[in-house]
Amino acid sequence: MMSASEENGNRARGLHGTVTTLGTATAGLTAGALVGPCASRFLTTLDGLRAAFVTARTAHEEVADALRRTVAPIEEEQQARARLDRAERRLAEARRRLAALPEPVEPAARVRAEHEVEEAERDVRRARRHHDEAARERARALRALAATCQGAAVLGALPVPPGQVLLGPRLQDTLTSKDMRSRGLATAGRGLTPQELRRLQRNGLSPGSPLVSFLYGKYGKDGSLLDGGTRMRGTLGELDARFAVGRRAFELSGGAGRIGTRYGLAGEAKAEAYALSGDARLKRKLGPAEVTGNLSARAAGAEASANGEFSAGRDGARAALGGEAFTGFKGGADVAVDVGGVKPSAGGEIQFGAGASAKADASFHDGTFKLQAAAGLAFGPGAKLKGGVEIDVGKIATPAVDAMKSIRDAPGDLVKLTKMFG
Amino acid sequence: MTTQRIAAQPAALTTIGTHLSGAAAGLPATRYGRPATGDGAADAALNEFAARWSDHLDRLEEIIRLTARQADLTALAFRIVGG
Repeated sequence: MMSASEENGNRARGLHGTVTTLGTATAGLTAGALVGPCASRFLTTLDGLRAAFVTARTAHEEVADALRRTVAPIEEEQQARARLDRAERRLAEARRRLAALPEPVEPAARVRAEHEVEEAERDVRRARRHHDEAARERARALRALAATCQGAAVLGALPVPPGQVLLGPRLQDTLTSKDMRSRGLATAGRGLTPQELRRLQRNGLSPGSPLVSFLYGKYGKDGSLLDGGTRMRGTLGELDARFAVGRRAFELSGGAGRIGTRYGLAGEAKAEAYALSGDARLKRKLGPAEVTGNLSARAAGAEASANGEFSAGRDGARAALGGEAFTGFKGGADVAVDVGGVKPSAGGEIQFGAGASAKADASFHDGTFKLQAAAGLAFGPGAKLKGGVEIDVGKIATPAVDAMKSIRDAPGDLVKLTKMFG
Repeated sequence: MTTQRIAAQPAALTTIGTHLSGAAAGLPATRYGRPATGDGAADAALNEFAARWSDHLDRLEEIIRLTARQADLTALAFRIVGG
């Protein structure tokens, strides 16, 4: 028991060392080794680990104490047992001597032998009482040990690891967005989609799932002399409009390895500078359909871009290739209608300047198939046409599956109706 | 933009990773002895205690190692992007 107690005591001391080390790591983290939402997750994990090891230390200390408390009662009971055995052997010997007295028995010898038996019987009674008491004490200590072990075997929940905070698009995006605007003004999240903004606000730099790019880089700047925008909701629908004077932007990005949830190669380069630019987007529901219209205009400027992506993963694949170069004035509109999971879109631009563009993009992701193509040419007057379709396979399949279920359940329903009215 | 400020000291973060790896390596062995008290209930409770903590400490060790690795990778990420 003593060695078992020492073993648990040593273990508790080892666990105390772990608690101290975790405390040091936590102190380092709170001193600014990491700042931001990912730091909170690291701190939560370290706090959880520390709490778990404090529980472990306490449990092992308690069991070590309980084991130590059983040592004396067990030894005491063993000694009392030995004393009782000795007393019983002495009594048996005294009785044998009394029975073996030679006939005729001498009265004095009989009295002496009987006295020895009485003495031995008293000893046995005393030793038995002592042993019973020691046995009760031993049982009490062992019951306490069992209760302590049962209490100490209640484990806390395992802490959750902080999650991977790795080099990936989100990390790069935010770091880049710090200096997206020239003249030190806040970016107001321009350049990021609403989904990206929500993810950044929720997760900080680290995405919910790891975005481990084998190689990923993104760099860009975005600024304008004057810009503004408005968003309103009226009888016509939801309108989102923006304008910029003296806008210039460039962005270079590329990756190999993991891109989002797929694996492959992707690259994009674009640069633009316009004296005036404006974009308006109107969204409206018309019965079951949702119509989206976009208007855009660019004046006195130039732009060039090229992009390509070939990637595939468990939940989809994408192949895209495109390029554009243009200088001059242009304005365009496009419309998309979403009806029951099928969303065709078409658009066009009227251009005055010089340029050419071509783009093709096909992808399948999360059950949605997307196909887009565009081509344009301008030499003096010119135009650009674009079109595409998005098909949400899940949305289309649901009514069909419901119909199949209805057909499948029809005989059962008929039986129920017959029972009700028959 | 309302995104919180993000910053890191890669060297300090690496030290934290090293501390955690050290803590995982310094954990006591999870093989417990099997003492016999001569009492069935107490022996069963002791064995249950040893088995449960042995598994739990193994899992905690795994989490410490994982956290250490994540701290190292985070330090590397910030080192690459310039802290």
